[in-house]
Formats: sequence, structure tokens, C-alpha cells
Amino acid sequence: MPDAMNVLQALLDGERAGAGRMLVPPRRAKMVAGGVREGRRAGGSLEFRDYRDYEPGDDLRHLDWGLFARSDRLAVKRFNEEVSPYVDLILDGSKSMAFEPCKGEVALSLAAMLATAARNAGFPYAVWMPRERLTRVAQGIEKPSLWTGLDFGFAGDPAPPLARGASTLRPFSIRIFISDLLWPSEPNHLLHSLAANASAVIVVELVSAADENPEPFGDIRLVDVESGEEQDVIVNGANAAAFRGALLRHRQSWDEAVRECHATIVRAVAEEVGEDLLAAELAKAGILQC
Amino acid sequence: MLTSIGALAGLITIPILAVIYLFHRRPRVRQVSSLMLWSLLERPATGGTKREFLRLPLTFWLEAAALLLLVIALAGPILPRVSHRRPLLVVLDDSLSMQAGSHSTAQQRARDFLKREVLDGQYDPVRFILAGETPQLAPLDQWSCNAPAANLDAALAFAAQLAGPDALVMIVTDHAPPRAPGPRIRWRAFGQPEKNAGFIAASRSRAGRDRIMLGIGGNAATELSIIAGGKTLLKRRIAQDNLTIELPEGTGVVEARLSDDAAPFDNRVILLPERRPPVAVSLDIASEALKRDLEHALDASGRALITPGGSLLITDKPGHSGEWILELVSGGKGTTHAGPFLLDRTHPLTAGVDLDGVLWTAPDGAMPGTPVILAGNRPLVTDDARHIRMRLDPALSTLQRSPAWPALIWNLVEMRSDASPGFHASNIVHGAVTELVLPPRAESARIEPPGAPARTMAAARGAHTLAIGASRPGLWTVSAGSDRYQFACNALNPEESDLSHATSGTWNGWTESSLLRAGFDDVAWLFLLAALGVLALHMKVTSR
Repeated sequence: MPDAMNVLQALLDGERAGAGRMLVPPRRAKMVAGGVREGRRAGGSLEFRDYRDYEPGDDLRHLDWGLFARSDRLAVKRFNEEVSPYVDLILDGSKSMAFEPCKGEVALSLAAMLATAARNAGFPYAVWMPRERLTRVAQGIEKPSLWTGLDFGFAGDPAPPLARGASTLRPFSIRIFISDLLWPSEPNHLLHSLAANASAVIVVELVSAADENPEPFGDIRLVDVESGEEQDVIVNGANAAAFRGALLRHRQSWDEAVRECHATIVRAVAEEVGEDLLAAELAKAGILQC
Repeated sequence: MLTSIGALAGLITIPILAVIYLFHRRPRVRQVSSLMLWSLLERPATGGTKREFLRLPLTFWLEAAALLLLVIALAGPILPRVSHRRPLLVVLDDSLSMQAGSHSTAQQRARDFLKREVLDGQYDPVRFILAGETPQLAPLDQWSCNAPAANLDAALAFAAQLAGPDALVMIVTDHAPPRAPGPRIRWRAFGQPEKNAGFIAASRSRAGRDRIMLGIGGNAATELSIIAGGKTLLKRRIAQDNLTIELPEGTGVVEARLSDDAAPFDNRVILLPERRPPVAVSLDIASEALKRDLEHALDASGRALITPGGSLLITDKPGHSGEWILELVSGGKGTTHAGPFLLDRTHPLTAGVDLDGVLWTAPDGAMPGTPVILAGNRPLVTDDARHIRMRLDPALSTLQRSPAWPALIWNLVEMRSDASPGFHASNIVHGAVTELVLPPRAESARIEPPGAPARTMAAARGAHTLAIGASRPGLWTVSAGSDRYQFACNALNPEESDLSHATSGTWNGWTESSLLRAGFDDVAWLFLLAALGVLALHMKVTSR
């Protein structure tokens, strides 16, 4: 991790940004019964919802004996189902996320802001980082400023360990994945793995300005920050346009995969993210309540 | 059009630059998040069998363009002038020898050539420089060939100052160039080697018997005639020779002539009497011994006439004031000096004066005026606006017995004579400058040169002299106030009289390159400017 990156400050900035906000589950999120949210289905909470006629097999404890005494009708009391959302925050821990300080700091702040917003909403959460395998961040269930072991040193494709480790995530949790998504493997497999048994999947694509715009022009030797692989290119107008075309196609493949998995994707350029840390974009996507 | 093919060899730098780019290119290193998007792009060609266009960065093309522009600028690109005519400076030999010629003079032949081949419109503008002793711009019709000599080197330098180093220059003269002309100089000579005899020296005695001394040079026999007062004093065949001729008492203007030949300007000299009137000297001396010493010295000068009321007063009595007084201060306690004596050699009184071995006893005391002779820090002779004071005790001094005494007195008489109105010399050499002392209250003079219109010349403020340049041979007359003076100017230049080296021909220094440059404008600056622009763009590209 570059020395220039101030992890604690980034986490504190995220906490501050998330202080007045609450995470809301996406509308089509599948919830776990017994939670703190009122579900659409009748469930086992103490909040009365309505009556329905008794059917054989119904729990006799739910019969409203008072109603039977008054109206000689056997009816069963129904109560609102309580749901309990759980948030799994997955932060891409590969080197590409942190070799430019701005990108890494924004990713950390964004994770901290979302965790704080989840905390404000009463959602428990856990923070994960895919390395050789999907690893829980130490003290990742605490407030962000207490998180430790946030290491952006993974030199590899985060998709395989994340896909493999998705089964270890809490069932029906809201899964938020923050990454630059710059790896060559197809997104479908990863997204399907994440979406399986999840109440919602939200992908936050965070790239740097340099990831989007190839500059400067000229004779450039590109070095992959993760693999160390080198490639000589002549960056000129035509090649820059071709690069942007390739990026567009890459994003289109992600959009397609997101649609297939009923996930949500939010995109941001780190240098353009303001102090609100994408609050407006996340609210627009129905994830955050300001 | 490019004038320096050699400079185009600089184009070799462009392929060298390409080689440097291809083999020693050091790309800038940049870390990226992933190469996955870049791997889809075409890579720079590094080899193989497939033919591809050479891929080089923009910086290469900018550097190559800058190199190309610089090479072109170095090659001296020129564009034709709008007028399609070349400017020309013609240096005209203005010396007397251009007047020489049996049938036609060198000047006439040169004029014909200029009208035929120079003033026909192919050159524009054409300017003329008269190459006399000092060069000057003048129209062609002022070319009179009356200068005593032609300083062609000075005229060439003047031409270069006028028109710059690229101008075409043509020299019109009557002799061959001393060395091969430069790349922009065409040397045209219109002289002809001829036999000629001419006066190369002429003078008239100032003292003693009235004589004229003549020097005749050249390579032809001639007939000499001496004429004075309408009478021919001498007529004889003569070859190259020096001769002295005694003149009868009272002879005025003497004219010496040689028979006509190719060069008319050196066949005649006029010699005016050089004798000037004696200086009237008054003596007011109490000491008989000193008076005797003074009279002897004045007599020895041959230039003084002792008479009361003279223009020069020599006295040993105090109380006289004004100019041209020699006041001898004696009496009282004095100091004897045996030297060394310090003499102001710039003062005319000390010319030829040697005080070695002289014992000079000078009374003590101060004297006004600028010191002329000193013994240590004690002034012995001072000059206070031509009131000369000499501190001398003749009884205790040996000055009057030394050769310095008549020299001092002679110098004093000459100083007074030189300050008298008129010319110092009556006969001067062509081209020399003579000085006229104006009579009292005259501030200007009317000058009548021979064969030229008269003109008036005014003295500088506070000055009593006029410097007159004798630019034409012949008899000059000058009127100042009610007085009239004359001097004779004689062309006495052996080099001008010697026509054996005169020749005709063309020594063409106008090279193809100089002709091109004269007819075209140098536009190298345009390419330099463009190169600067390209380099500025290069800086901008590389600093991004």
C-alpha cells in the first residue's frame, strides 16, 4: 500500500459522510425472517396485521378467542413478518485499487460511509476483502475507524476467490462490492455467485481518471501494477479512442451481467467523487436514504 | 532557391534522428491498473515479415520538422526580389590618372561603359562613390577625376557600410587590382599603358637666391619651358631629371611646362615667390650688451627688420602690455641653472633649441603665463597670450653665446611671421591643406579655385585661420577683407604620372552566389522562425 494513502483518515471521512444517512434494502431484496424491518409477508412479529379464517392445521395459539366469543367465527390473527437485513461489504483488495492514492482512499471512504449508513439503519454488517481467498477484515463488524488489516496488496484477479467465497457470505445478505472491475474474466460467473442466496447485490465500480483516459500521448511503456507485465504502446488519438472503445465494451458486459442477476451497478471516477461520497448516486439507485 | 548545397548535407541528420528513435527509444514508463484494455490495441512494430508503416511518435515528427527547417535556413534560402533588379554600388577612381589618354581618356571610356552596361536598367538602384582621398557619394556627373590619389580600399569599406556585405560592387579605375577581387566585387579597368613625362617635384626657394627646383619623371623625352612675366626663360629637350634654375631678381610667378602628352595634368607647374616680407622688430633694450646680442641674432635670421614701431617688440623694460612682446626680465638676486632644462616641445619657440651646456642665471620671482622653458620647477620662459617673458641675467648667463640664442630669436620671428595675414606657403602639393591667416577683423574669405566656381568660407567662431584643401591643381586666389592672396597648387604625384602600369580589363569577382544574393532576398529568417514555432510545439507536447 502506498505510504501516501491515509487509511484512517479515509475511514473517518467515510464515517463522517455516512453519519446522517441510512442504508435501505433495494426493493427486490430478499430478507431474512425475524429481522427488524417490516416485511410484506405476514410473519412472526408482534405487530398485528389482519385476520383470516381458520384453516385446519393452523396453530391454535393464533386463534382469536375473543372474536370467536363475540361473533362465533374462528379466525386466526396474522402479524407482520419481521425481516433483519444483513450487509456484506466486499472491498476489492487488489493492488490496482491503491497504487493511486486517490482511488484507494475513496474506496475506503465509500466502504466506511456505506457501513456507517448500514449501522444507522440498524443493519449488521461485515467487511470482506478477496485475496487468495475471501477474507474477513478484522473488526469489520465494528465502526469503520476500528477496521484493521485493510491491505491492498493482492496481486491477482479478485474474481475467482470472490466467486468461490460467496457461499461463505451470510444468506440473504445485501452484498455490496466495491472494485474497479478491471480484470479480464467474464463478470457473469462472479455476479451469479454473489447473487445466489443474496437479498441484493450492489456493485460500485470505482476507477481513476487515468483508468478512463489514456494520457499522456507518446511512446509509453505500460506496466501492469499487479502482474508487473509490460507493454509498449504509442498513445495517440487513434489508440486512445480504441482504448475508450474497449472500456465501453467491458462496461457493457458488466451491465449485461448486472441485469441478468437483478443487481445494481453504480459507477464513479475517484477524482470526481465529492465529499458526499456518491450519496446522490446511491440514493438514486435506491440504496441510500439521505 | 537554396544557395548552399553543402548545407543540405545537414539533411542526413533526419535519418540519424529516425535511427535514434527506432533503436534507442526510451518510452516513458507508466503504471496502469490493468493491461487488459491495452492488449486489444495494436502494438508498435518491432519486426516480422508483414510490411507496416513506420510508427514513430509525434515528438519525432516535430524534431524532424525542426531539423529540416534549420537545415533549410542554414542552406541560405533566397527568394527573387520583387523588382528583379540588383542594387549596385560603383566605385569611381577619382584620381588624376583617369584623365590620361592619347585619344580618349580612361574616364571617357569608363563613362561610355557605364552608360552602356550599367545604367541600362539591369541594376537598380545604382549609386556612385567617388574614390578620392576620402570616399563620398556623388552623382556620376560630379566625377571630375581631380583627386590627387584614389583610396580604393577606403571606398570599398564605405560601400560595404552603405549597402551591406551582400551588395554588388563595381570598381571603375585605370589599373589592375593589386589582388584578386572579393566575391562581390567586379574590377573594371579602362587605362592604357602610355609613355608620359610629368613634374613629380617643384619648389621655390624661401631664402637666399630666388631659385626653382624641378623634378621630372616618366618614361618619355619632353620639352621643358620656363616662363615668367610673359618671357620664356628656358626652353630645352629634357628627359627624366632634377634641375635647379636660378631666377632673375624680382621674378614673380613662374610657370614651368612640359610638351603635351598622354597625361595633361602633370605637364604644368606654377611657382609663386615664397619670400615673405620681413618682420618689423622694435628693440627697447637698456643693456647695450644685450641689445648687441639681439641685433646679431635678428640679423642672422634674415627675416627681421629692426625698426621702431615694429610688429614685434623686444624689451627689457617692464610696463609693456599686449601681444607679440618679448620681455626680458633681469635684475635682482638670481639663481644660476646649469640644467637640466625642461622645454615644451609643442611650443614653436622651442623648435631646434638645445640648452645643453648653457648656464642660465634667472632672477628670482614669479612670471605669469604658461611655462615654455623650465629649470626644475622654476619657469625661465613663459607665454602669456603671445606676451613672452624670459627671465635672464645676461651678465651671468651663457645663453647668448650658445646656438640656442639665435634659434630662439629665429623661432620668435617665425612665430610672428606665421601670425601675419596670408598663407604660410605659396606653393603646395595637390591634395594638401594650407592655412590662411585672416587679416584683422575678417571672419571669412572668398575662395576662387582654378576651373571651378568661387565659394565663400567662414572661419570658426573665435578662429582667425581658414584651412583650405587644395583639391584642384592651378592658381588659387583668396580674398579676405580688402586683401588678396594667392597660392599655387601643383599635381606632383609620381604614381599618378606613371602610366606604364595602366591597363584595361575585367577582373570579375561576381560569383554566381553573389549575383544570386544581390538579386534575391534572404528568407532564412522565415525558416528559423518556423523552426522556433515547431520547437515550442515540441516543448508543449513533451511537457504534457
